[in-house]
Amino acid sequence: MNQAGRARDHRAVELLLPWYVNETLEEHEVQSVEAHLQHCADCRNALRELNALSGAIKRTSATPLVPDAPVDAFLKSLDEAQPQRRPAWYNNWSAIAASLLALVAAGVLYVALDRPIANPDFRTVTQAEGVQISYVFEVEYSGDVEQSRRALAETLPGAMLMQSSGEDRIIVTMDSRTVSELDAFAASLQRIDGIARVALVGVQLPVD
Amino acid sequence: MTNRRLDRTQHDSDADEAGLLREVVEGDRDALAALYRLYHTPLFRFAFRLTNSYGTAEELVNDVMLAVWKNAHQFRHGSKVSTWIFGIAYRQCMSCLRRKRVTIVPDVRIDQIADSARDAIEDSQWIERGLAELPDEQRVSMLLVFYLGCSYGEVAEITGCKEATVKTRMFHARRKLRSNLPSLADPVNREVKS
Ligand SMILES: [Zn+2]
Repeated sequence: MNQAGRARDHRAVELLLPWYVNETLEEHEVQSVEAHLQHCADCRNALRELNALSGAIKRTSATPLVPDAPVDAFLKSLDEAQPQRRPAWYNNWSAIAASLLALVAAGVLYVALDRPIANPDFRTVTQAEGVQISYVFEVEYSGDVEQSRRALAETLPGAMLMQSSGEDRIIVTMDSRTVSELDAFAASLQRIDGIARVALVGVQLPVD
Repeated sequence: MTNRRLDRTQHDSDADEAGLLREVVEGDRDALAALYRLYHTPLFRFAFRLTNSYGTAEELVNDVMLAVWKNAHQFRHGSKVSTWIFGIAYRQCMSCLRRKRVTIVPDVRIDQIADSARDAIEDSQWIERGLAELPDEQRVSMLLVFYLGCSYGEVAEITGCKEATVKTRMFHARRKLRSNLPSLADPVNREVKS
Protein backbone atom coordinates (compact mmCIF):
# COMPACT_ATOMS: atom_id res chain seq x y z
CA MET A 1 0.00 0.00 0.00
CA ASN A 2 1.33 3.47 -0.84
CA GLN A 3 1.53 6.27 1.67
CA ALA A 4 -1.74 7.98 0.70
CA GLY A 5 -3.52 4.64 0.82
CA ARG A 6 -2.08 3.92 4.22
CA ALA A 7 -3.22 7.31 5.57
CA ARG A 8 -6.73 6.66 4.26
CA ASP A 9 -6.70 3.24 5.84
CA HIS A 10 -5.52 4.70 9.14
CA ARG A 11 -8.29 7.30 9.19
CA ALA A 12 -10.99 4.77 8.33
CA VAL A 13 -9.82 2.31 10.97
CA GLU A 14 -9.37 4.97 13.62
CA LEU A 15 -13.01 5.98 13.15
CA LEU A 16 -14.19 2.38 13.51
CA LEU A 17 -12.29 1.60 16.71
CA PRO A 18 -15.09 2.40 19.21
CA TRP A 19 -17.25 -0.20 17.52
CA TYR A 20 -14.40 -2.67 17.37
CA VAL A 21 -14.36 -2.32 21.16
CA ASN A 22 -18.11 -2.79 21.57
CA GLU A 23 -18.05 -5.69 19.11
CA THR A 24 -20.71 -4.48 16.71
CA LEU A 25 -18.65 -4.29 13.50
CA GLU A 26 -19.33 -6.45 10.50
CA GLU A 27 -16.87 -9.28 9.93
CA HIS A 28 -15.08 -7.57 7.01
CA GLU A 29 -14.63 -4.43 9.12
CA VAL A 30 -13.18 -6.46 11.97
CA GLN A 31 -10.70 -7.97 9.55
CA SER A 32 -9.53 -4.62 8.20
CA VAL A 33 -9.20 -3.22 11.73
CA GLU A 34 -7.15 -6.18 12.89
CA ALA A 35 -4.89 -6.10 9.84
CA HIS A 36 -4.24 -2.40 10.36
CA LEU A 37 -3.61 -2.69 14.11
CA GLN A 38 -0.65 -4.97 13.42
CA HIS A 39 1.39 -2.16 11.95
CA CYS A 40 -0.10 1.03 13.49
CA ALA A 41 1.03 1.98 16.99
CA ASP A 42 -1.24 5.06 17.04
CA CYS A 43 -4.31 2.93 16.54
CA ARG A 44 -3.12 0.45 19.17
CA ASN A 45 -2.85 3.35 21.63
CA ALA A 46 -6.27 4.64 20.66
CA LEU A 47 -7.65 1.15 21.18
CA ARG A 48 -6.15 1.01 24.68
CA GLU A 49 -7.77 4.34 25.54
CA LEU A 50 -11.12 3.23 24.21
CA ASN A 51 -10.95 0.00 26.17
CA ALA A 52 -10.27 1.98 29.35
CA LEU A 53 -13.17 4.32 28.62
CA SER A 54 -15.51 1.50 27.75
CA GLY A 55 -14.69 -0.37 30.96
CA ALA A 56 -15.10 2.71 33.15
CA ILE A 57 -18.38 3.73 31.52
CA LYS A 58 -19.79 0.23 31.80
CA ARG A 59 -18.86 -0.09 35.46
CA THR A 60 -20.15 3.31 36.48
CA SER A 61 -23.32 3.07 34.40
CA ALA A 62 -24.33 0.04 36.36
CA THR A 63 -23.72 1.90 39.64
CA PRO A 64 -26.94 3.84 40.26
CA LEU A 65 -29.46 1.68 42.01
CA VAL A 66 -32.52 1.64 39.88
CA PRO A 67 -35.80 2.08 41.72
CA ASP A 68 -38.52 -0.50 41.08
CA ALA A 69 -40.41 0.18 37.92
CA PRO A 70 -43.43 2.15 39.20
CA VAL A 71 -45.60 0.65 36.53
CA ASP A 72 -48.93 1.06 38.34
CA ALA A 73 -48.39 4.76 38.95
CA PHE A 74 -47.34 5.14 35.35
CA LEU A 75 -50.45 3.42 34.02
CA LYS A 76 -52.61 5.60 36.25
CA SER A 77 -50.96 8.72 34.88
CA LEU A 78 -52.08 7.71 31.38
CA ASP A 79 -55.67 8.54 32.23
CA GLU A 80 -54.75 12.18 32.45
CA ALA A 81 -52.62 12.02 29.34
CA GLN A 82 -55.20 11.23 26.63
CA PRO A 83 -53.99 8.24 24.63
CA GLN A 84 -53.38 8.79 20.96
CA ARG A 85 -55.28 6.20 18.96
CA ARG A 86 -56.00 5.81 15.34
CA PRO A 87 -57.36 7.67 13.52
CA ALA A 88 -55.23 10.40 15.02
CA TRP A 89 -55.73 12.77 12.13
CA TYR A 90 -59.44 12.86 12.91
CA ASN A 91 -58.80 14.33 16.37
CA ASN A 92 -56.38 16.70 14.83
CA TRP A 93 -58.77 17.79 12.21
CA SER A 94 -61.35 18.80 14.79
CA ALA A 95 -58.67 20.71 16.68
CA ILE A 96 -57.71 22.50 13.48
CA ALA A 97 -61.33 23.26 12.71
CA ALA A 98 -61.79 24.75 16.17
CA SER A 99 -58.69 26.89 15.73
CA LEU A 100 -59.90 28.02 12.35
CA LEU A 101 -63.12 29.32 13.83
CA ALA A 102 -61.31 31.08 16.62
CA LEU A 103 -58.65 32.79 14.54
CA VAL A 104 -60.23 33.58 11.22
CA ALA A 105 -60.40 37.28 11.96
CA ALA A 106 -56.66 37.75 12.26
CA GLY A 107 -55.72 38.04 8.56
CA VAL A 108 -53.12 35.37 8.99
CA LEU A 109 -54.07 32.20 10.63
CA TYR A 110 -51.69 30.20 12.75
CA VAL A 111 -52.63 26.64 13.51
CA ALA A 112 -50.46 24.83 15.98
CA LEU A 113 -50.14 21.12 15.32
CA ASP A 114 -49.27 19.87 18.74
CA ARG A 115 -49.92 16.27 17.81
CA PRO A 116 -48.63 14.33 14.84
CA ILE A 117 -51.02 13.56 12.03
CA ALA A 118 -51.14 9.85 11.28
CA ASN A 119 -52.90 9.86 7.92
CA PRO A 120 -50.18 10.41 5.29
CA ASP A 121 -52.65 11.58 2.64
CA PHE A 122 -54.10 14.26 4.83
CA ARG A 123 -53.47 17.60 3.20
CA THR A 124 -53.08 20.33 5.74
CA VAL A 125 -56.15 22.50 5.82
CA THR A 126 -56.67 23.07 2.11
CA GLN A 127 -57.02 20.68 -0.79
CA ALA A 128 -56.51 23.44 -3.30
CA GLU A 129 -53.40 23.24 -5.47
CA GLY A 130 -51.37 26.37 -5.97
CA VAL A 131 -52.28 27.93 -2.65
CA GLN A 132 -49.24 29.25 -0.81
CA ILE A 133 -49.04 28.21 2.80
CA SER A 134 -46.43 28.97 5.41
CA TYR A 135 -45.38 25.88 7.28
CA VAL A 136 -43.67 26.25 10.62
CA PHE A 137 -41.04 23.66 11.52
CA GLU A 138 -39.20 23.20 14.77
CA VAL A 139 -35.49 22.48 14.35
CA GLU A 140 -33.22 20.73 16.82
CA TYR A 141 -29.48 20.74 16.35
CA SER A 142 -26.96 18.09 17.13
CA GLY A 143 -23.80 19.81 15.99
CA ASP A 144 -22.47 23.33 15.66
CA VAL A 145 -25.62 25.46 15.85
CA GLU A 146 -24.35 28.47 13.91
CA GLN A 147 -22.97 26.32 11.14
CA SER A 148 -26.20 24.35 10.86
CA ARG A 149 -28.23 27.56 10.72
CA ARG A 150 -26.09 28.74 7.83
CA ALA A 151 -26.52 25.43 6.03
CA LEU A 152 -30.26 25.63 6.57
CA ALA A 153 -30.42 29.18 5.22
CA GLU A 154 -28.49 28.09 2.13
CA THR A 155 -30.83 25.18 1.53
CA LEU A 156 -33.96 27.29 2.02
CA PRO A 157 -33.11 30.77 0.76
CA GLY A 158 -36.67 32.10 1.12
CA ALA A 159 -37.34 30.74 4.59
CA MET A 160 -37.53 32.74 7.77
CA LEU A 161 -35.50 31.51 10.71
CA MET A 162 -36.64 32.33 14.24
CA GLN A 163 -33.76 31.67 16.59
CA SER A 164 -34.07 30.70 20.21
CA SER A 165 -31.83 29.12 22.79
CA GLY A 166 -33.84 25.89 22.78
CA GLU A 167 -35.26 25.00 19.39
CA ASP A 168 -35.28 27.25 16.37
CA ARG A 169 -38.30 27.58 14.16
CA ILE A 170 -38.24 28.01 10.43
CA ILE A 171 -41.15 29.29 8.41
CA VAL A 172 -41.24 28.01 4.86
CA THR A 173 -43.81 29.31 2.40
CA MET A 174 -44.72 26.91 -0.37
CA ASP A 175 -47.59 25.18 -2.18
CA SER A 176 -49.88 23.21 0.07
CA ARG A 177 -48.63 19.69 0.69
CA THR A 178 -49.88 16.45 2.08
CA VAL A 179 -48.58 15.13 5.37
CA SER A 180 -46.35 12.55 3.67
CA GLU A 181 -44.91 15.24 1.40
CA LEU A 182 -44.25 17.39 4.46
CA ASP A 183 -42.62 14.43 6.21
CA ALA A 184 -40.35 13.90 3.21
CA PHE A 185 -39.52 17.60 3.21
CA ALA A 186 -38.64 17.54 6.92
CA ALA A 187 -36.59 14.37 6.42
CA SER A 188 -34.60 16.04 3.64
CA LEU A 189 -33.74 18.90 6.02
CA GLN A 190 -32.77 16.38 8.69
CA ARG A 191 -30.06 15.09 6.41
CA ILE A 192 -28.21 18.39 6.67
CA ASP A 193 -25.15 17.94 8.85
CA GLY A 194 -25.70 19.02 12.45
CA ILE A 195 -29.48 18.97 12.31
CA ALA A 196 -30.97 16.40 14.65
CA ARG A 197 -34.66 16.82 14.10
CA VAL A 198 -37.08 18.81 12.00
CA ALA A 199 -40.76 18.59 12.86
CA LEU A 200 -43.83 20.37 11.58
CA VAL A 201 -45.38 22.30 14.46
CA GLY A 202 -47.73 24.71 12.77
CA VAL A 203 -49.25 26.17 9.66
CA GLN A 204 -49.89 29.78 8.73
CA LEU A 205 -52.67 30.45 6.26
CA PRO A 206 -53.59 33.59 4.45
CA VAL A 207 -57.18 34.49 5.16
CA ASP A 208 -59.16 36.69 2.85
CA MET B 1 -16.63 -12.39 16.83
CA THR B 2 -20.21 -12.12 18.05
CA ASN B 3 -22.38 -9.13 17.37
CA ARG B 4 -23.60 -7.69 20.62
CA ARG B 5 -26.11 -5.07 19.65
CA LEU B 6 -28.71 -3.10 21.56
CA ASP B 7 -30.52 -6.23 22.68
CA ARG B 8 -27.67 -7.10 25.03
CA THR B 9 -30.03 -7.59 27.98
CA GLN B 10 -32.40 -10.48 28.46
CA HIS B 11 -34.96 -8.66 26.38
CA ASP B 12 -37.41 -10.75 24.43
CA SER B 13 -36.62 -10.95 20.78
CA ASP B 14 -37.24 -7.84 18.76
CA ALA B 15 -40.18 -9.48 17.04
CA ASP B 16 -41.90 -9.93 20.41
CA GLU B 17 -41.34 -6.27 21.22
CA ALA B 18 -42.73 -5.23 17.86
CA GLY B 19 -45.75 -7.37 18.67
CA LEU B 20 -46.18 -5.60 22.00
CA LEU B 21 -45.97 -2.27 20.22
CA ARG B 22 -48.71 -3.33 17.80
CA GLU B 23 -50.92 -4.10 20.78
CA VAL B 24 -50.08 -0.71 22.28
CA VAL B 25 -51.39 0.91 19.07
CA GLU B 26 -54.68 -0.81 19.77
CA GLY B 27 -54.69 0.71 23.24
CA ASP B 28 -53.59 -2.40 25.16
CA ARG B 29 -52.30 -1.27 28.53
CA ASP B 30 -50.91 -4.66 29.49
CA ALA B 31 -48.66 -4.55 26.46
CA LEU B 32 -47.54 -1.06 27.43
CA ALA B 33 -46.87 -2.26 30.99
CA ALA B 34 -44.75 -5.11 29.60
CA LEU B 35 -42.67 -2.68 27.53
CA TYR B 36 -42.39 -0.39 30.53
CA ARG B 37 -40.97 -3.21 32.65
CA LEU B 38 -38.51 -4.20 29.92
CA TYR B 39 -37.20 -0.71 29.30
CA HIS B 40 -37.41 0.89 32.73
CA THR B 41 -33.93 -0.09 33.88
CA PRO B 42 -31.92 0.70 30.72
CA LEU B 43 -33.83 3.94 30.19
CA PHE B 44 -33.41 4.95 33.80
CA ARG B 45 -29.67 4.34 33.75
CA PHE B 46 -29.28 6.16 30.47
CA ALA B 47 -31.25 9.17 31.73
CA PHE B 48 -29.52 9.12 35.09
CA ARG B 49 -26.09 9.10 33.48
CA LEU B 50 -27.06 12.15 31.48
CA THR B 51 -28.76 14.20 34.18
CA ASN B 52 -27.28 12.83 37.41
CA SER B 53 -30.66 13.19 39.04
CA TYR B 54 -32.95 10.41 40.22
CA GLY B 55 -35.98 12.65 39.97
CA THR B 56 -35.21 13.82 36.46
CA ALA B 57 -34.36 10.29 35.35
CA GLU B 58 -37.70 8.99 36.64
CA GLU B 59 -39.51 11.82 34.92
CA LEU B 60 -37.69 11.13 31.69
CA VAL B 61 -38.51 7.42 31.77
CA ASN B 62 -42.17 8.26 32.22
CA ASP B 63 -42.07 10.88 29.47
CA VAL B 64 -40.44 8.42 27.09
CA MET B 65 -42.96 5.68 27.84
CA LEU B 66 -45.79 8.17 27.51
CA ALA B 67 -44.44 9.09 24.08
CA VAL B 68 -44.36 5.36 23.27
CA TRP B 69 -48.03 5.15 24.26
CA LYS B 70 -49.01 8.16 22.20
CA ASN B 71 -46.87 7.53 19.16
CA ALA B 72 -46.75 3.75 18.86
CA HIS B 73 -48.55 4.08 15.50
CA GLN B 74 -45.53 5.96 14.14
CA PHE B 75 -43.17 3.04 14.69
CA ARG B 76 -42.05 1.75 11.32
CA HIS B 77 -42.02 -2.01 11.39
CA GLY B 78 -38.76 -3.26 10.05
CA SER B 79 -36.74 -1.01 12.32
CA LYS B 80 -35.82 -2.11 15.85
CA VAL B 81 -38.05 -1.30 18.79
CA SER B 82 -35.08 -0.61 21.07
CA THR B 83 -33.57 1.82 18.56
CA TRP B 84 -36.89 3.60 18.20
CA ILE B 85 -37.41 3.88 21.97
CA PHE B 86 -33.86 5.11 22.60
CA GLY B 87 -34.34 7.61 19.78
CA ILE B 88 -37.23 9.06 21.77
CA ALA B 89 -35.15 8.96 24.95
CA TYR B 90 -32.29 10.71 23.18
CA ARG B 91 -34.49 13.59 22.03
CA GLN B 92 -36.16 13.96 25.44
CA CYS B 93 -32.84 13.91 27.28
CA MET B 94 -31.31 16.43 24.92
CA SER B 95 -34.14 18.90 25.30
CA CYS B 96 -34.11 18.34 29.06
CA LEU B 97 -30.39 19.08 29.16
CA ARG B 98 -30.95 22.24 27.18
CA ARG B 99 -33.67 23.39 29.57
CA LYS B 100 -31.58 22.99 32.69
CA ARG B 101 -27.83 22.79 32.68
CA VAL B 102 -26.91 20.03 35.06
CA THR B 103 -23.45 19.58 36.39
CA ILE B 104 -22.33 16.06 36.77
CA VAL B 105 -19.68 15.80 39.39
CA PRO B 106 -20.54 13.52 42.28
CA ASP B 107 -19.25 14.68 45.61
CA VAL B 108 -18.22 11.70 47.68
CA ARG B 109 -15.50 11.74 50.34
CA ILE B 110 -13.26 8.88 49.32
CA ASP B 111 -11.64 8.33 52.71
CA GLN B 112 -15.02 7.56 54.25
CA ILE B 113 -15.68 4.70 51.93
CA ALA B 114 -14.76 1.05 52.46
CA ASP B 115 -11.89 -0.19 50.35
CA SER B 116 -14.09 -2.40 48.23
CA ALA B 117 -16.26 0.51 47.14
CA ARG B 118 -13.35 2.88 46.70
CA ASP B 119 -12.20 1.60 43.34
CA ALA B 120 -15.64 1.92 41.84
CA ILE B 121 -16.02 5.46 43.12
CA GLU B 122 -12.59 6.59 42.00
CA ASP B 123 -13.38 5.09 38.66
CA SER B 124 -16.69 6.85 38.51
CA GLN B 125 -15.26 10.22 39.58
CA TRP B 126 -12.46 9.93 37.10
CA ILE B 127 -14.71 9.11 34.19
CA GLU B 128 -17.53 11.43 35.17
CA ARG B 129 -15.21 14.37 35.51
CA GLY B 130 -14.10 13.66 31.98
CA LEU B 131 -17.54 13.04 30.56
CA ALA B 132 -18.96 16.15 32.22
CA GLU B 133 -16.63 18.29 30.13
CA LEU B 134 -17.82 16.88 26.83
CA PRO B 135 -20.49 18.54 24.72
CA ASP B 136 -23.83 16.80 25.26
CA GLU B 137 -23.83 15.07 21.87
CA GLN B 138 -20.40 13.56 22.47
CA ARG B 139 -21.32 12.45 25.97
CA VAL B 140 -24.50 10.78 24.74
CA SER B 141 -22.56 9.05 21.95
CA MET B 142 -20.13 7.63 24.50
CA LEU B 143 -23.06 6.20 26.47
CA LEU B 144 -24.82 4.83 23.43
CA VAL B 145 -21.68 3.06 22.29
CA PHE B 146 -20.12 1.88 25.54
CA TYR B 147 -23.07 1.55 27.88
CA LEU B 148 -25.80 0.42 25.48
CA GLY B 149 -23.46 -1.23 22.99
CA CYS B 150 -25.01 0.38 19.90
CA SER B 151 -23.53 -0.14 16.45
CA TYR B 152 -22.69 3.03 14.54
CA GLY B 153 -25.76 2.48 12.39
CA GLU B 154 -27.94 2.35 15.49
CA VAL B 155 -26.35 5.49 16.94
CA ALA B 156 -27.06 7.23 13.62
CA GLU B 157 -30.68 6.13 13.76
CA ILE B 158 -31.14 7.11 17.42
CA THR B 159 -29.56 10.53 17.08
CA GLY B 160 -30.88 11.22 13.58
CA CYS B 161 -27.38 11.89 12.25
CA LYS B 162 -25.34 10.52 9.41
CA GLU B 163 -23.02 7.61 10.15
CA ALA B 164 -20.04 9.78 9.22
CA THR B 165 -21.12 12.36 11.81
CA VAL B 166 -21.48 9.64 14.43
CA LYS B 167 -17.97 8.36 13.75
CA THR B 168 -16.25 11.74 13.84
CA ARG B 169 -18.19 12.66 16.97
CA MET B 170 -16.79 9.63 18.78
CA PHE B 171 -13.34 10.45 17.47
CA HIS B 172 -13.52 14.00 18.86
CA ALA B 173 -14.95 12.73 22.14
CA ARG B 174 -11.93 10.48 22.66
CA ARG B 175 -9.53 13.28 21.70
CA LYS B 176 -11.20 15.62 24.16
CA LEU B 177 -11.24 13.02 26.93
CA ARG B 178 -7.58 12.38 26.37
CA SER B 179 -6.74 16.05 26.90
CA ASN B 180 -9.08 16.33 29.90
CA LEU B 181 -7.94 13.07 31.45
CA PRO B 182 -4.21 12.84 30.85
CA SER B 183 -4.13 9.57 32.74
CA LEU B 184 -6.27 8.03 30.03
CA ALA B 185 -3.26 7.80 27.79
CA ASP B 186 -1.21 6.54 30.71
CA PRO B 187 -3.23 3.97 32.66
CA VAL B 188 -0.47 3.23 35.17
CA ASN B 189 -0.60 6.78 36.48
CA ARG B 190 -4.32 6.62 36.92
CA GLU B 191 -4.03 4.40 39.96
CA VAL B 192 -1.64 6.80 41.69
CA LYS B 193 -3.64 9.95 41.16
CA SER B 194 -7.33 10.17 41.86
ZN1 LIG C 1 -3.76 3.64 12.43
